[in-house]
Amino acid sequence: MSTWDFRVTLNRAPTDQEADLLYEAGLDDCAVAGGPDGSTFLMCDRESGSLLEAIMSVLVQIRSVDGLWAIGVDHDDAVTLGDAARRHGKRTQASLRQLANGQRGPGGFPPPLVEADNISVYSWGEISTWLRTAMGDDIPEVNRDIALADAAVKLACRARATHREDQVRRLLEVA
Amino acid sequence: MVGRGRHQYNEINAAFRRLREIPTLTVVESHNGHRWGWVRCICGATPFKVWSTPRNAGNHAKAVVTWATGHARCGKSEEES
Repeated sequence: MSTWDFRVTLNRAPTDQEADLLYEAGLDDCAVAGGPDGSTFLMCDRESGSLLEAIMSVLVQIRSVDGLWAIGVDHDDAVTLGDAARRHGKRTQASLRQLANGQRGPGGFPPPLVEADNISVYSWGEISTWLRTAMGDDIPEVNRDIALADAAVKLACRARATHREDQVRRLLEVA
Repeated sequence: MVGRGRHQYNEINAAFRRLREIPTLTVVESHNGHRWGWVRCICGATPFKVWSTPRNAGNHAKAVVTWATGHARCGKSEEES
């Protein structure tokens, strides 16, 4: 089991009572917050066998609160080195720490965006670009499972909005 | 400006100390339901709800610091508008 970090955008900001219901539904490993663009999302660190299973379990719990649903799934750009290692899949946190400290590699690892006691937060965009160009690592631009989950959530939203849920479900079974 | 509230978890208090350095953020202690309180940005975004008993305090602390980085430019946006 690993801990997977991801973000699920909600259809709207939950009320305080709804936030408590989200917590009671099992989302005590997710934080409710919003962005400067007006969006509201859950920032999740979910333990599961895979990223897709982690996302699915969060989506089920969101739906248990009437009036709330997911409208998108993505990754935060801000990551710890542990998060970055899990997203990379082929480097350990220790490996990234050695690259960040200059103990290994050519140097020039991106500095943290912010540090708070023992929490150092980096930009995944900057880290992944540096790993591709300086270390030759093969990292896709977009995480495949995040892209799949986001596409599925958006399809589900459109199906619900057009009352075509059963038809879309059958379409996925035969496609 | 940051309120004086202390959370029961040291990791979250450490995150609050960092947030204290960001003048556009305010930490509010309220103790309602499962919420210890929230962190508010002057941009008016949905505040970051701080749980009293998150499943993992370290991850919750990381989340609030991560969220704060997403609001790093809010003060500058407010000045420019």
